[in-house]
Amino acid sequence: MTASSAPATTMPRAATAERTRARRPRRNWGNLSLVSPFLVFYVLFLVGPLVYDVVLSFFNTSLVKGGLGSFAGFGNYTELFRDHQFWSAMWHTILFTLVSTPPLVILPLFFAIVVNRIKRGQWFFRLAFFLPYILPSAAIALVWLFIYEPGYGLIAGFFNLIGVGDPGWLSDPNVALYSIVIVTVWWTIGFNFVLYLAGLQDINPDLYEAAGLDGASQWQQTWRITIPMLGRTTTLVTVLQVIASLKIFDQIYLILQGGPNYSSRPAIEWIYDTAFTSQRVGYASAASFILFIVILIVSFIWLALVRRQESGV
Amino acid sequence: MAHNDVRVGPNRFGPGRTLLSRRGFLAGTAAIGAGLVTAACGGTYNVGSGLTGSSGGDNNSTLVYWNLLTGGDGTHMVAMEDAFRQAHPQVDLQSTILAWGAPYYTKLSLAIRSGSPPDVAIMHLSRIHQYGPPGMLTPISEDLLAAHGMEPKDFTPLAFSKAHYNGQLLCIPLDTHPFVQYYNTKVCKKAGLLDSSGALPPIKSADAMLDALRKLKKVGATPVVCDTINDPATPWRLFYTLYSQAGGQVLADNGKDVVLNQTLAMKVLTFIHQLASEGLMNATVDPGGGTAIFQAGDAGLYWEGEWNVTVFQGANVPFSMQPYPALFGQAAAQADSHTFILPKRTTADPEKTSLALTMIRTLLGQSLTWAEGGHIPAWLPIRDSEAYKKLKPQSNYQEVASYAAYDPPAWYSGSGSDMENYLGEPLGDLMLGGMSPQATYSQMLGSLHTLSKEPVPV
Repeated sequence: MTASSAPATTMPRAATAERTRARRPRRNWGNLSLVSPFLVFYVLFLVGPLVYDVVLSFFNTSLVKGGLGSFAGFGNYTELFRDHQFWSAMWHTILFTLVSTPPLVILPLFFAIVVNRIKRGQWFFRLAFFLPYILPSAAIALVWLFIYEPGYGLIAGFFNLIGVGDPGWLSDPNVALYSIVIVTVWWTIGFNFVLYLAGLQDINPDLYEAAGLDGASQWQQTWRITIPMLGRTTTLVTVLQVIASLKIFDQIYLILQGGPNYSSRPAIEWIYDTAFTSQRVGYASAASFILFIVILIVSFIWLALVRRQESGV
Repeated sequence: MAHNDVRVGPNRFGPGRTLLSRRGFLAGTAAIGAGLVTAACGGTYNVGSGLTGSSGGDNNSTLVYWNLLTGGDGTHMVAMEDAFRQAHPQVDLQSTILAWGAPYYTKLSLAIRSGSPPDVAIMHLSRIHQYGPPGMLTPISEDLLAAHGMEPKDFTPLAFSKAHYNGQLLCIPLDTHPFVQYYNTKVCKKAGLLDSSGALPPIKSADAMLDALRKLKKVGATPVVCDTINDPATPWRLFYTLYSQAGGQVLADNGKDVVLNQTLAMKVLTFIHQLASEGLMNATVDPGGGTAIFQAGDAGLYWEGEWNVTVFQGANVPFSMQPYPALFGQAAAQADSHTFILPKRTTADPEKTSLALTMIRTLLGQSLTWAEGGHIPAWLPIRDSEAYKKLKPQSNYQEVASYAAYDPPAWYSGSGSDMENYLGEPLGDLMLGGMSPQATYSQMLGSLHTLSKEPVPV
């Protein structure tokens, strides 16, 4: 999972389109047949597994035994609610989201505004910010393991030089998760940056000209025109970011395996460990369903906010 | 995206110049779909057989072999496979290397469950308690073994007896790979630890170990390196080595009972804590960092499995190896064995089984190559050979094969298992100086109780 992909349904324009279509009474079956190849895959690979997951969550299904296993009723769910390992993993996911979202919304905005002002060689900055994003998570993990490595790492020497000592990037349970936040910001900032840059280029230059004639300073133009005009982009970026952060897995699994002492293990890794190492697929299905509900609730809240914002415009 | 819609209208190619008609597109899609289904039903390892549980129709002269061996081990295994290919040119040996640990065992489970397993695969001996009970492995009779030139007396007795579950032989051991002590001869000499022959005499107690490490610290070396980061298995190996030396048991009754002894465990945990608090151990490294420090000649001792021997030989660091010293009484060291298994197939295929056993026998005959990677051969004709005895420092610790401490049998234990992870994580924190021995013990005990009470999925 890269930290910035999201289902198309959360996008504001799609929502508007849906509403317009709902007002039209006549159905267009031709359109339906056009999307049917997609629908087949959607049912086969999304709806199907989802239903299967819910079914599995009521059974003691094992990875290594055929069939569903014995019926568990709500047993998996009650066990889950008492399982502090699971809830601490959920907390790590939420903490990661809370800590990683603000910098991933604010920093790209700042950089986009700055880069948008550069007239010559802008391509270089666009490329520089976006480049890490195209790297696979495995490459990112290797690069940052080398950077964080105590003693031999790239930045360990620097910290020792200024005399504060290495903060235990990967070994201190209170630091490890934040190390991953830094990795993620560096890795995925490019995606949000590009969204902002596109938003900036959508703003009508006449507005700045008019403001300039009225004597608005650069700072006022940024604050009164750029930021408000980017409102919808900011909402979009935030929604995508929250969802992407809730799905955190790759970087933590590859760099820390959820350690030290499980201090960084996110919900998805707990689910993976339970299903594929403990082989308790039924139990893990119950957990993934709960995570799915959490992500769904968050998405709905954001969707409601977006709709309110759109009707306000 | 709301703000960067692609602004290309439907008429981009002009009204008369659509690239593809709708009908043409649909027909094409249908053709591709049909092709995929056909392909899926035709291949050896396919979606179709995964869904129906039938095994694909294989050609009898192909042999599919899965293993999790990378690095030096991987290179040696490839050389051994090539020896087999040369001896049996009519057999198409298809070898697949997968990532070590849980990812490997997940794929293996799913392949067996879906009815399309490899014909032969590597498995850690400690894992047969997960795969044996649900009947995922083909038992190997002594007759079958003998028919392919192998007899029980040809194998290390301990490994061979541990290869049984419920009286049936489920795997054929290739080696024993214990936790050992590497030492830098130059650094240890400087600290005055070596005897006149230039070897490190066995350290006989925890106090003697502390003394030795303090001497190493005095000469400016990192006394001992043992990694914890991204590697819960190594802290577990250290703990289980020392705890077994003290005579402790962790589990009983195939994992249903937890018998972790508080007095013995605390003795070991306090010792590890002292290593951390006195600054005698560098544990803030991942496996790569650990080997790098020892390789650079900065460390006196390095505690890990013997499989890094080729790394250090390649780096020309002056070093030697020995059994992990008995610090808490009896000689013991955490260990496991790579073994060959025959995954259970939906329909037995005696010819394929025979082919697989022929391959196993050929590879066992190549054990000397395997031993270069550090592992103690389980195949006694090689282990007792002069050539192996001359292989140094690999043969220094061959005695460990007779007192190796395998992970306690349970469905949740073994190499790369939940138990190793759940216990290794707090142990790692202890080694980093974070947790107290008491807190580590409590967390370990709590995790063991949780694991032992989980519904058994096998």
